Amino acid sequence: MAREDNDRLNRILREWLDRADDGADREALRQSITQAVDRMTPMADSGNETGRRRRRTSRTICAAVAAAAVLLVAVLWPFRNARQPEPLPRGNDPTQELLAKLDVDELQRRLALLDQLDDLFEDRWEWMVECGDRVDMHVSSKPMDGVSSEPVAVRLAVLVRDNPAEAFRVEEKTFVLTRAEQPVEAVLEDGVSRKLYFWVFPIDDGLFTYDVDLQTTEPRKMSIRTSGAVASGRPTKILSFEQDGRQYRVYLLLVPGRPPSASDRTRQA
Amino acid sequence: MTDEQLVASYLHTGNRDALGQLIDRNVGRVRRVVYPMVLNHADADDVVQEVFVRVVRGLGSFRQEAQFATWLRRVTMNTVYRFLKQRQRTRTRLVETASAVEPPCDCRPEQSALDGELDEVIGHALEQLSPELRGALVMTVFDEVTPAELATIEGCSRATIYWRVHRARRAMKKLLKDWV
Repeated sequence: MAREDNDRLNRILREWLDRADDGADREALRQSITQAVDRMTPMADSGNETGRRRRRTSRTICAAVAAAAVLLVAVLWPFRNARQPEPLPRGNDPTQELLAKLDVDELQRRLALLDQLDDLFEDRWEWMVECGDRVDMHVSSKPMDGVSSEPVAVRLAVLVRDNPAEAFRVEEKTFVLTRAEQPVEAVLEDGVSRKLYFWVFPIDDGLFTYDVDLQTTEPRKMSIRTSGAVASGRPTKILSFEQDGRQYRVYLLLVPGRPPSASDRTRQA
Repeated sequence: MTDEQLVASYLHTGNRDALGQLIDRNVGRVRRVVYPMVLNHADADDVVQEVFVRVVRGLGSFRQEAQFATWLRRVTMNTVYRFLKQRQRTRTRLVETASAVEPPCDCRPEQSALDGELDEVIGHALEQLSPELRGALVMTVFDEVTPAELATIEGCSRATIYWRVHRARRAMKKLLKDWV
């Protein structure tokens, strides 16, 4: 569905540009460019000499810039991981215990739900979000293009600690079952008001780019907005921040793929 | 001859015909990227001219092992972004949509009227996007640049490009909901 919409959007945009292009005086533009360029390089030979001189100057500048860049890299290298997503350490980090449920097996089990959802809603379901004891699900009015949209199971966990001496504890855990490129916009009310916007898109080499916007009002007002890329199957720290003296860490685990659905099996048969 | 060979010919022998051919070959493509960014025909022509002036001035620093097309796109987008910043500063926003252009023929008046309405809506919708989102959409839809190449041109990660394209598409679909 998303792909069809994209194709339609591409088509009307290109037709719009074709119509707009009809009104452009391409020949006059060519002439004005040629005149402007001629004013810059009045004679071919002197232009060539100027070019050689310019190349020598630019080589000197390039060498200076390269030296500065090397120096800059040397200075900044120790901080290179400061803004990159950080996979969860595999050591005896007490945080890991709390994140035990952020595991791939659990998400794969959840992916098995797809069969039942597709059977129940005849390929019309778009996404499902589970948080606390609440579930929000969205179903479209007509069947989705399930073949082109890869299903993805996602666990988003927010950890908090009140001071650096304490271990992190889980503040929020959200499970999302969605399809690639499908925007998720969920509102959950279970004493705590939560609004979640989530979107994921597969890129090469098992990487997924994501966009998260999670807002809560009670018991604590919290706003998490971030985007980036993660490798599938690895819990990854995607955000760290401090608010009201508390330290927060946000982890994301994402597992793609699906077992063959009932409709797939029927088609295969 | 490839664009890279034309560049080499101009740089090594001062061949003005090669330079002319390079401009002729690329002016249309550059304008098809610039116009949807600046949304005004007169501004688009000025920016395209500025792009080629910068290109000719910078040919000496062009690494000939690099692709000329990628380098040209980078110069184009830098020139466009600079122009948009200047225009925003001077607050001379002149939005001209394709509807202001004379239709080529009046043989299908109803279709022309519909196109005119749609053209106006598309112009306004593109104007709502930030320059970065518009740039991502324009380069991928009109110039069919891959996200990997666009990431190189814009100097950011591929994930950022995917995100920008997604955001731009989402906004455009919302603004053009009666047509998409």
